[in-house]
Amino acid sequence: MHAVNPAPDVAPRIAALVIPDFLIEVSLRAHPSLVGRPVAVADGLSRREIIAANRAAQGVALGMTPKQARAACPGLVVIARDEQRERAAMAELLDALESCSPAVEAIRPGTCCFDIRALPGGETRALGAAVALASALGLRASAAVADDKFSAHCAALTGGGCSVVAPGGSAAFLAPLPVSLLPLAPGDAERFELLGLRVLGQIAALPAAPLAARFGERARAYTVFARGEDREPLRPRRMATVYEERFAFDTSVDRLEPLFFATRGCIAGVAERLAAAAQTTDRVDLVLVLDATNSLTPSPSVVDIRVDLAQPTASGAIMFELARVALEAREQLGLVEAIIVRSAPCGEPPPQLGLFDGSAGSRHTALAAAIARLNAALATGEVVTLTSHPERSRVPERMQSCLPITSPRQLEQTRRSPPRSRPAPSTRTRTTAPPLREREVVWAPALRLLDPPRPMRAPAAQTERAGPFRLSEGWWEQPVERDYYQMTDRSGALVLAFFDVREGGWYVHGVFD
Amino acid sequence: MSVAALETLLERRFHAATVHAKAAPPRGGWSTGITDVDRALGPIGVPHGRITELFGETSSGRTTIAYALLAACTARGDIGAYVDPDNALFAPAAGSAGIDLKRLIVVRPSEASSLRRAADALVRSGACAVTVLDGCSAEVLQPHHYARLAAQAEKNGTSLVVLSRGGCQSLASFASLRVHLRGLTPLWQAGSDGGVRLHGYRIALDVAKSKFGAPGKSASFDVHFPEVAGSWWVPACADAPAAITGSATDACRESSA
Repeated sequence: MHAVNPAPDVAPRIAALVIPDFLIEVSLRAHPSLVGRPVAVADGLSRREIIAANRAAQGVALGMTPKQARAACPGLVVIARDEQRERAAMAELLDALESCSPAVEAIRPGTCCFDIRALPGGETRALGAAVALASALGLRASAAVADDKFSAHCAALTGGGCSVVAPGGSAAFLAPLPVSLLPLAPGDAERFELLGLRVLGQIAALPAAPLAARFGERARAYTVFARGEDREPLRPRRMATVYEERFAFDTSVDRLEPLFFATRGCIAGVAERLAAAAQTTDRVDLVLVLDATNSLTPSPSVVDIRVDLAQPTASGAIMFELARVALEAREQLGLVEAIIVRSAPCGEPPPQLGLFDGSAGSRHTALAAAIARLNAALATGEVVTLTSHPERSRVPERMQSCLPITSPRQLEQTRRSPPRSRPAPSTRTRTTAPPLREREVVWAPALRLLDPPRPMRAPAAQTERAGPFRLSEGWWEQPVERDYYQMTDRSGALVLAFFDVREGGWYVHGVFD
Repeated sequence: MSVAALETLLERRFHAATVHAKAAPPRGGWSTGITDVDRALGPIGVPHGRITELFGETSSGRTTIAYALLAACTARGDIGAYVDPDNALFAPAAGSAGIDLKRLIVVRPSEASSLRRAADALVRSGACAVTVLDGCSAEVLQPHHYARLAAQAEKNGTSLVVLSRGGCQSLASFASLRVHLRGLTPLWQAGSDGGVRLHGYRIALDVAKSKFGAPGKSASFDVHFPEVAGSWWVPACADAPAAITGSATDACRESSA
């Protein structure tokens, strides 16, 4: 974690952006039709209870069960909490704020702080810009600036809109605010109430040591917060470091050998920096800067080549090998005047050595190498796994889907399930089948699909064929109405053909092979 | 020219590719699961670490044998690969044949150069126990490609199965096992209403070359259609009558509606 420590001669100024109804706002972003209606968010595994409600939900209190809440507020819409959606909204907010300030810290869901000192235009304008950014994301926020995070947070919560606590004025600002704003441990609020300590100014006026003797060491933090002396620095998100190496040719090159030479050197530099930081990467980006002036045809000045490594590594040899495959797969690169190699750490630790796991480690490595090589050499979507969906559609071309393979885990995650029992032949089939001599029977015809179907001439009337088998589907979007036949075509091949009832015409859709 | 000079010439020409006459026999082979075929293929079946050519005309049964090999491969927990430049692999049919599709890498190269690179990457990695090259692969690959693939397959134990039409001399030379699929005979059956239905088809094959068994053996087996439409597994229509001829197809249409 990188802590931003302010220079001693510059007073810190920290802004807080608070979204008071964060859970509600996030839910309404996902369900915009509910805007203006009473909405509550429920959470909990065994016992669901209301954890947030908007102002329209009159009579709903936190802690109610959904049934109680609906009884208290007829017409209430209760939405289940979606933490994944909350994280995504928070990430969007942080991304937006990082476009203004380099140091942005997420305090909790719906609250973030950022360094406001370096922003141009003054504090009020900067706060307004931050609120506008949140508003653009569909989140109503309030913001405030103060000398410390706690004061700024309290000002944003209590002030609404944009508030500015003057430098050095935190203690005076906090003094009349209730103690409930402190991050109190369970039971402390009641104990402060018993002692008659209701506002932060009273806490600030007490000496820290006796308070700590009664409440524990956490009370020292209460005193620090109440006095406006919170000096905890901002802890921004870990910034993604991108390692980059460049090589510029004296004269433009159009052959692969000098390109490989330069690429090897750049990748070695990137790999050394990754290894020195104990980091790995799962992707290398090659940027070829082309010499557009000497090119006869108009062409892009930069070519980006993405090399996916399939498995995190810091090995320069592996990175270069895949980069070489990717470069070889691109023909006619043109005149290259410079190459840039970029790689960002992927955050995963270096893989452990597979010394003691038998052959599984080497198999995994081999599979990762194969997938990486295939992805480097082929275009996106050409290395896939197929999934059969016979329940989804009856039309052959809609009965399967493909998913690009990017990681060996896709092939290793699932243990083999027992083979699906082949559909047993019906009784009628057995009884009506011609008597066969002792012969092996396979119940799985191998059909090679032709997609798209290939037009064929209408079969002769005397052609032996089985069918038709009517397929009618998708009348609401992509209507299909076909009469399928199994027949022998003019070349003698046993094919699956159909007559398109809607448009007319015969097509071959598959060949039994 | 002496034998030694010929070997030197071959090694120089094919970049030190292995000369199989001196190579040790493979450690094992794949069974297709079809008794007659396995008996014809010899003691080890389809050898590990070698090139096997399945050749024949369109609709001769090559894909059926290839599916059987991939099913045996994935059933053992190994990874299989299918290089499919024609996008002809039909997942429901492959699944019905017993192939675990989650352990099958399907490569669909759009160019000849991509196909060559894909074949090279799959075989040289040793990650795939069985790699099937389909479509135009046999015509795209040159003799030096086959030499390289043969060497890499032997080194890594990958069984490389090439489906071809049988006209590629270099493939025939480098293949340790060549199976000629003679053709596919439809098994028609008379229906009760005077029409016909396709009960299945019969595949006949000859072993044209076998370095580890006796060539010249023949086998045949039947493939039966388990379902009405006969071409894929249709669960929603599993209770439909076994034979539908003429225009009596409303059973399927009603169930889909």
